[in-house]
Amino acid sequence: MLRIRPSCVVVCVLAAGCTGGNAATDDAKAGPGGPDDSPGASCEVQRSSLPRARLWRLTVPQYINSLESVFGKGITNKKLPIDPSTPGSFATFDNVASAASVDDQLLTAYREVAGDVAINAKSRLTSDWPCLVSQPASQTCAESFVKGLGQKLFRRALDSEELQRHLAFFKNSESRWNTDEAVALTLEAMLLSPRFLYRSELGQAEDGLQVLTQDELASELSYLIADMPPDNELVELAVEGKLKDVDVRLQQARRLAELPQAHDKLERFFFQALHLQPLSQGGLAKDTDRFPQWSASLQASMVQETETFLDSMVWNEQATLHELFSAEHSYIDQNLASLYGIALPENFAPFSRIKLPPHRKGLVGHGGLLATLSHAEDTSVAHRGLLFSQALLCQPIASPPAGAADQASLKLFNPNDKEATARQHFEFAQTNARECTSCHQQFAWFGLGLENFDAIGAHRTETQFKRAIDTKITLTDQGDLDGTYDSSIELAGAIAASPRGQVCFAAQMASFGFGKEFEPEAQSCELERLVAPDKEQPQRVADMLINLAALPSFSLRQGGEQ
Amino acid sequence: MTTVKGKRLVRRRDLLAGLGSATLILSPFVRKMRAQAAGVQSPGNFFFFFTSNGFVRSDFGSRGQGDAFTLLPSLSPLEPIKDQITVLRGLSNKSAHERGQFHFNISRLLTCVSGDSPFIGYGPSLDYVIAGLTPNPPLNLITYWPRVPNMFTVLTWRGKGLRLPHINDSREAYKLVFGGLAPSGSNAEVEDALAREKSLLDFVKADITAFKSRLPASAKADADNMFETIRNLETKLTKPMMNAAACNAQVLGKARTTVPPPDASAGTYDKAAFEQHNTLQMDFAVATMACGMRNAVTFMNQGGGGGLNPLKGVGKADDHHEVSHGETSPGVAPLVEWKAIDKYYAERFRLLLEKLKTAGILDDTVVVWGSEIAEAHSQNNQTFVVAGGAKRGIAHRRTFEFPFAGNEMGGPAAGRDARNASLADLWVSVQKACGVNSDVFGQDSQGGISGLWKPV
Repeated sequence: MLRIRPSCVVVCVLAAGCTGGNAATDDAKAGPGGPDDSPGASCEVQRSSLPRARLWRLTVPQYINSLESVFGKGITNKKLPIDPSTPGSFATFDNVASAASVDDQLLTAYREVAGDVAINAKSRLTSDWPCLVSQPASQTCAESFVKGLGQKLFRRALDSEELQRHLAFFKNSESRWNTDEAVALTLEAMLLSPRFLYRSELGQAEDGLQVLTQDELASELSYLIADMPPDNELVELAVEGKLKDVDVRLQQARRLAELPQAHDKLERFFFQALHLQPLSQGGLAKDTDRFPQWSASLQASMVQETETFLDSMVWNEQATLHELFSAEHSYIDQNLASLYGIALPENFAPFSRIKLPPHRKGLVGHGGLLATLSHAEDTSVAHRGLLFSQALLCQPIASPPAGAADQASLKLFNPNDKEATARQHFEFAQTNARECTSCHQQFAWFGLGLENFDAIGAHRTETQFKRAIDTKITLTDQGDLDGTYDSSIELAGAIAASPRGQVCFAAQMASFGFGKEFEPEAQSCELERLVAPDKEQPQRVADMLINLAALPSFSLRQGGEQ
Repeated sequence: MTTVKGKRLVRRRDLLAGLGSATLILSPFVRKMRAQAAGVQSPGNFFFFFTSNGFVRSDFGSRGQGDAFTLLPSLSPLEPIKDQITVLRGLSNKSAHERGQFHFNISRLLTCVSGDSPFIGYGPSLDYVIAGLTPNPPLNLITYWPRVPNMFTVLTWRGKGLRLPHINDSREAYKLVFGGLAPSGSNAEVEDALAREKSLLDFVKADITAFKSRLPASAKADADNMFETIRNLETKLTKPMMNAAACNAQVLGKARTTVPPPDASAGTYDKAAFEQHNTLQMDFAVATMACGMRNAVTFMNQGGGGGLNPLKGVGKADDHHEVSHGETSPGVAPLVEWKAIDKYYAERFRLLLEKLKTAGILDDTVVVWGSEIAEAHSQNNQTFVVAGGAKRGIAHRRTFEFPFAGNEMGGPAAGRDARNASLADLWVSVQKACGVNSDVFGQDSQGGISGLWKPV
């Protein structure tokens, strides 16, 4: 059973004996796997760990999907500025609620899109409301238009005050210009309204918490899973008041997860969680003198490999996290076959499934990831290592002390042996620059375990100076993960199979899903519920996403003062 | 084509697209604001020229005063214009974040206010303070755009966590600043289109006010932020600034470009691409000031910690950031390439000053060149170059040499040593020169830099 804990001081106020008939705690109790038979059965959710009651600006994909759900695909070709990325302790996401403001540049873009949509949607609007053709529009027609369009764009019915105000604007505009302009202006006004641009997560007060309303739950669910506004089925369930039922939410989440928008969203999550954004945005620079294979085409192949792999594994094969990080196959084309040293069979269709060489497994073996976490000219032990410590293990790494970066290039390398391997340089630094390695050793070994892949992800057994590469790593301070691994590829699989790795992954997914950082220890109650509702079966990645809809953080918010 | 009561109107999209014709005709609004400018004392301009990764101190700066004022080698390109130059050495940003003195402290550079998060600014930054004298917000341009916005690129902040995004695409910048000014068409057409725009924005503002009234306090900041942004947009459309005496067709023509920014991806971005785009942006920035559309511009050659080395391809190391960490090309002595980069940017700085001078606004514009870090990668003991602003009381041919006490790499605490001069005092002097009547800026200011500025 999950319980809401009001603070660090007051414990169990809302424990079992206090929960009768209480919507807030009913939601908190509910979850996949039944009431009391699952991990975290006795844990409590701290009230302070819930998201705050808030407005959350639509991300660019959500904005586009919201427009297209009402007006159809391709309604505008105007571009919005990309969402700003916000670094957290373990990953950098572009949908952090507290960082999503509307600045001059974004508002100007919203304004342009609104004007463009008003022009392009004209025939669709007159088709949906034929009465608008006659000028001036009748009161009934105007009301039907304002009410209907508002419901679609605001994802809820307009209340009477909103209806009257928008109707007055329509009529004033019609009187000053004409009905066409009134239609266009009303549409533009709605597209610039915070009711459209923001998701409401304000809820209604109940026992010191804010419980999301039915309309808010419908939006929350739809945007959480597929970055799109609620469809008719969800709207109907909201009208019927059924979305407080966790089973109904999970059923709807499964339905939404079938949509291509949901697959796109999960891809966006993986690309951001694995630090792959530079690759997906086509901005990865390499020294082409040293890596003549590097090209825009190869980058595109790398992106497609990871997208195809995720789509196939997560959705078609219902893979577990361990399977994503230990898969012995991938989906490649000729570009990647050349890079990976694989001879493709005749008539091989690009991005079909193919077995990988034994040294390359799972997502960490993808050329795109290895290239992204490298410098232009060489590998980066630090960047690759930090992926493991931060993204896979959720191990906070303190910022370097003042001046450390200035010294790093001098102290972490052996000036007497410039052709040394990265491991040899690091071992030298362990003796000669302990002030650096006392921190770097927390993550450097993970990176050293990937040194058998060069800066564009090609396999190698020796460095450019013909020194043999040793990727073996031994962990001694990582609990269940302690042991010796042939390489970090093997280690990644082990992390993904471990409870710690899975909780970390769940934290990343919840952080992305709810737009605020989840910390594995502080929020273990919800995260363990997400990872392992059934002790006997490892959780599938797709189900982790779906089960977000059952968490207290989905439906409850910290109270917002009036 | 949109029609209004049977009459043809300029399409709104055309209006918003800005000046569309090759032959430039000033809009009625520009004409109107030029007329308004007569006899009105306008605020001064502030132009911040940002280069990343610090400078090699031994060669970057000046010595002496007045007739004995001498530029150090990296600033030698400024020799022809040194009557307009003053250098300040030994300033420390006392609001640097405790977690370390790295590039992300770019968020503290123009704010000088500390806060819990190292990644956000706790503004307002100096450009916002100075822009506050006008109806328009500041403008933030960046030449080399790293594509993924991050904490190393955010220089200007309206308030806590409220960033002003940089603009890389000059076409977008043009639309943002001049978008509401139509190139042609009758006054009646344009006035009608603007009346429509005003009607829309008035409604949206009222709508937001109604929306806000129902919100809990914790969510009101989101609506406040949007409300203010809309108010800025409306102001831009309906109330152009004054101080437009220097705005003319030639200046505006230079500002308008149809050239997309060069692709910053692998292998396609070289010195020529950088200079072409950088020059376009300089022309644009100068035009925004000359036409009175902006009085505070931050001009980032690239983001904090930026890796672009504009000298790449001529035998230099490939990455500015790596060069600043002591990496050199084979056979090249340490610091040589870094000094070359500093000198290169001095040439760009001179070009900017020449453009401001040609537009007739250099004496009304306080120009400051600075970086997010000093040579030791900290915010201690930094050097800044100040230029222009003669009519605003800025002193020239001066070297302000503040001794730095303590270990430069000793973290923010070392910089906060009471014996060290505060960067915030430079900003006090600059804001006063621009017309902000306050002896305080950010944290740790003590009335400004004595001798840098005097009332005129």
